[in-house]
Amino acid sequence: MDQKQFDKIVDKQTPKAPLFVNMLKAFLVGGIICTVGQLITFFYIRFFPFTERTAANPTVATMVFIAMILTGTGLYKKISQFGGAGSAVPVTGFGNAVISASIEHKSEGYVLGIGGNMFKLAGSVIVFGVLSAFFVALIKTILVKMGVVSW
Amino acid sequence: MKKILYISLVLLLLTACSNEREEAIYPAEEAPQLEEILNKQDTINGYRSVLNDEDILVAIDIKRMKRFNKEKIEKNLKKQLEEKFPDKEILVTGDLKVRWELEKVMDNQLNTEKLSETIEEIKSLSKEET
Repeated sequence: MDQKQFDKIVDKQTPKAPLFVNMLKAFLVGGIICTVGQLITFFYIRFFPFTERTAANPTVATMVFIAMILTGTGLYKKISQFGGAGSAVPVTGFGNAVISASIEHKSEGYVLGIGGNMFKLAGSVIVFGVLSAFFVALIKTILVKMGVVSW
Repeated sequence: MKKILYISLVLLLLTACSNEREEAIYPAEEAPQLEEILNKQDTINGYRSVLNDEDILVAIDIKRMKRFNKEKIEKNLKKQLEEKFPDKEILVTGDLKVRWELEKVMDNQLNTEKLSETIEEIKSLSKEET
């Protein structure tokens, strides 16, 4: 039996993933998460001195915080089992990645376990964000000092 | 599970549309030229405007699909207004916060002193970057 035949048998035996239904579920779950985020944005615009542009920052923080609490109580697991990528792609997936890693390594102690493994999954996102923001700001500062562009 | 799916589909499809144009200038009948310019715009659904001796604040409600050109529309309108009112400081924005703040001003019918204070506040709000 060569590789091709083997692949054929594997294809036959694996259950077909319901692609369309999965996409629909991801669409719904992701859409609901984004709607909640939009409502939080409106809340911040209405009751705090944030404009449309500045309200995005507290909204992201709140969404991550909510996702972290839901992960801790085990609710986010159910949501992501139903929604798949719809719950992983929005920023709530980031909070979920941080907390689920720290829950997993809780038994290894607070410093070496939680502290050391907390950012195992999401650390690259933070490092990339901070580093790219630093370099963009550096380039812009140099350009402003040279008088090419203005703030 | 199927029930939830159907209910959410129905909720998604039941969307409401309102086409009423909301226009308001405070204090009313202060500047007929301003109204004339604003009424000519075809990219906006409505506007709220508050003015005093030094400033004109205009919050526009840009049409849904035209929002991609938000900054261009704001700039364009600002230029038109600056030509008509060369001695006033003008702020044109499509921001929701400014629109709501201007609505608050209209509802409270502020007097001149309070009005200029609030206008300064709104101006500093729209300058905020962080």
